[in-house]
Amino acid sequence: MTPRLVACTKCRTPLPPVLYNTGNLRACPSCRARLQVEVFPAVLRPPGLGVAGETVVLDGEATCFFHATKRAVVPCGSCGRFLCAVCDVEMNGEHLCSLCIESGKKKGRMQKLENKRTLYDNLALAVALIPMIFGYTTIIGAPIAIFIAIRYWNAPSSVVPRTRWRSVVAIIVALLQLVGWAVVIYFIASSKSHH
Amino acid sequence: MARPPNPYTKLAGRGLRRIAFGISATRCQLWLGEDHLLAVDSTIASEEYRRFYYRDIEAFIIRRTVQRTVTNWMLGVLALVMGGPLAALYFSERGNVGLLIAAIGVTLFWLLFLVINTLRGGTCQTHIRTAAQLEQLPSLQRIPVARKALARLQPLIIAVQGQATPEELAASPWMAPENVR
Repeated sequence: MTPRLVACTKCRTPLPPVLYNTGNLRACPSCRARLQVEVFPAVLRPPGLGVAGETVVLDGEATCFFHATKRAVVPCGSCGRFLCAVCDVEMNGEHLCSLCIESGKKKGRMQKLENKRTLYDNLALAVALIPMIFGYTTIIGAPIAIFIAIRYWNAPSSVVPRTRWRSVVAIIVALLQLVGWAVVIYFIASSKSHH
Repeated sequence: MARPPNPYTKLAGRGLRRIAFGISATRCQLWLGEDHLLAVDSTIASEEYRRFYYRDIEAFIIRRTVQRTVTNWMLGVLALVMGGPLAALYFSERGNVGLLIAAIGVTLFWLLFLVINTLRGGTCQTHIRTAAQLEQLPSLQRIPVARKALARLQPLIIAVQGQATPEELAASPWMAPENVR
């Protein structure tokens, strides 16, 4: 069996189990780094073995949609295709096929599979604030910030709790910039007309 | 329409994921979910998620680092380098109270950071291990914060996995002497 001892995160030396679950920092026997190692029963679990689908033996038996020679064990909970043990993916107590998982991931229906999200509120705020460093670039940044904030107002934000204050601040700052530009243009135009 | 309640609770601590030469634009946070720990890496415009299911977590490893000591030395040297010459000038030009106040002010400024850095507790690197990966958790970079996070995480993991008794650990095959160096 492959040793599954927890290794020191500095020198990668496997740590003796006497150092586990002590609740205190203990020295690594190799590099003397001080470590606290908390081990849970999952470490005792043997590595999982893959399953092979059962081959169809009787005529008329339901077969897998993806493997015509394998016996179906369950229908997909989303599309209803018959699946063999290889193609069956259990997720939150539901049996799904790989195609449904892929399309669910793409459409954002399966939050637990999402590993990236764009934060449009942050983007709008950045587009509103960063051009202020240069001043004159706000004339381009402000309309873009307002567009992003409004266009993606209802777009899914972070998966963790998050309010919309960034979008609101981005719109207010961008509007103030546009008002500022309107005032500047008005004064330039009025001073030219006086001349 | 009322939004559904968010299933996540924030864990203490935040940190930066170092990319190269100490420069990082990625902020890291940890959130407790119903059945998993969520590690969130945020940049200006996006977030990346990593999920560690309670049933899969094998180990939680905290390793003390010397970062606090190094930072304290740097702050001490800064206090000395910036306050020292002003103090020397005061002693050479006796009576100039302004120089004395400036020397004390500058020294106290850096010493204040030193005290804060000391009081925040020892620095550490924290890792979480599953069967498939060993992942660093940059948001847990102080020992008290890491222990606080562990104290909140441990009951959730134990509720799913149960607790490994010393007898179970002793009976496991990896306790064999050939696996222990």
